[in-house]
Amino acid sequence: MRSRESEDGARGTRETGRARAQLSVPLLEAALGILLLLSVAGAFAVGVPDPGAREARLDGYAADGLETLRDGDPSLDAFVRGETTGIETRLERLTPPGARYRLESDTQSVGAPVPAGVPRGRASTATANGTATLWVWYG
Amino acid sequence: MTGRAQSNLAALAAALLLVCGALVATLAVAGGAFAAADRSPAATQTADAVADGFLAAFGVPGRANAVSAPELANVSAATLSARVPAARGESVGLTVGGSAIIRSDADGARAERLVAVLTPETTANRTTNGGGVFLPPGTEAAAVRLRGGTGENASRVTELRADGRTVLANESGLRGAYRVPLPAEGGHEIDVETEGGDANTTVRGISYEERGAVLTVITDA
Repeated sequence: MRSRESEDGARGTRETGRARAQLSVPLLEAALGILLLLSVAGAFAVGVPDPGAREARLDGYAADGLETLRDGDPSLDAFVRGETTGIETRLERLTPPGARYRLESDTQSVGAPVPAGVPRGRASTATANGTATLWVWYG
Repeated sequence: MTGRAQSNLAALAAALLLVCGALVATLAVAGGAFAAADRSPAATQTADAVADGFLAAFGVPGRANAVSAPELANVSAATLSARVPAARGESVGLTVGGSAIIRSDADGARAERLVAVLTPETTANRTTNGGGVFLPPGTEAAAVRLRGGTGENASRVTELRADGRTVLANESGLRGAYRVPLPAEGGHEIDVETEGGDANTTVRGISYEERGAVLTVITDA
């Protein structure tokens, strides 16, 4: 009895709004469904950008840079031993145009501080006297 | 009540039609995307192999990841496929530091390496008739030309040493041009051992001017 009353009450409010409730519910649902499907289709059509691609490329640059530094003068070994003279000039020449770098050993570091929030590459290698880490980024 | 229900039925039919249409279109787009996706990384592997092979074949001896600037002028599609097995039968485009070394309309997979382009700088010729030649620090190779004779009675070069380490030795005499890689650190001494009189030998030290550049290899997918 109670529920009936409340239903009546509900119907009453619906009756008053009846002139406005013209939009068909199935069509509304269909529109929502189509939007959902189109968003899926859009994701397939546009494709998802690969956020790791740029960092992976810079990681490769850093690894290649360390490999190059192993030979030549001053070498990576000399830097890890504690001789920092000249290594900065060498890195300056070896990084691609527009790129910046930071080279760190267990005790020393040269180059600019590594910024946050930009894609940056990093590679580490072991030498006879410790580990060397090179960061490369554009900025 | 009945009228409303029937209008809803028509709307439901129309809605179902629209949703089915959108579903078919979405499946078509998704199917196309899956068909176009690169699920075989073989092309990328080829590009990587060509980049590694190029550095191995045209690289500077004694230096990792480095190419010689004068040597780049000799790189062509023909020499690349002759000296890099991975490049055989492939359409390969190759650029170093943005300038095209091998032009190609290949547009599939790409491989990138950060390399050092080395421009050799040589010291003046030093002549010795036996004995030592000193090379300054930073010298990374010695170009040695041995002009002695060969045979028992000729004045001949029998041994060539770099920093006390024997590089070449032949009792009957050494002739020809040789390139001896040296460690970059410190100065070096090239010793020439002669027998049977003076044997003219010239030694030049080679150091490198370095420049970083991106090597890009592009192959067809």
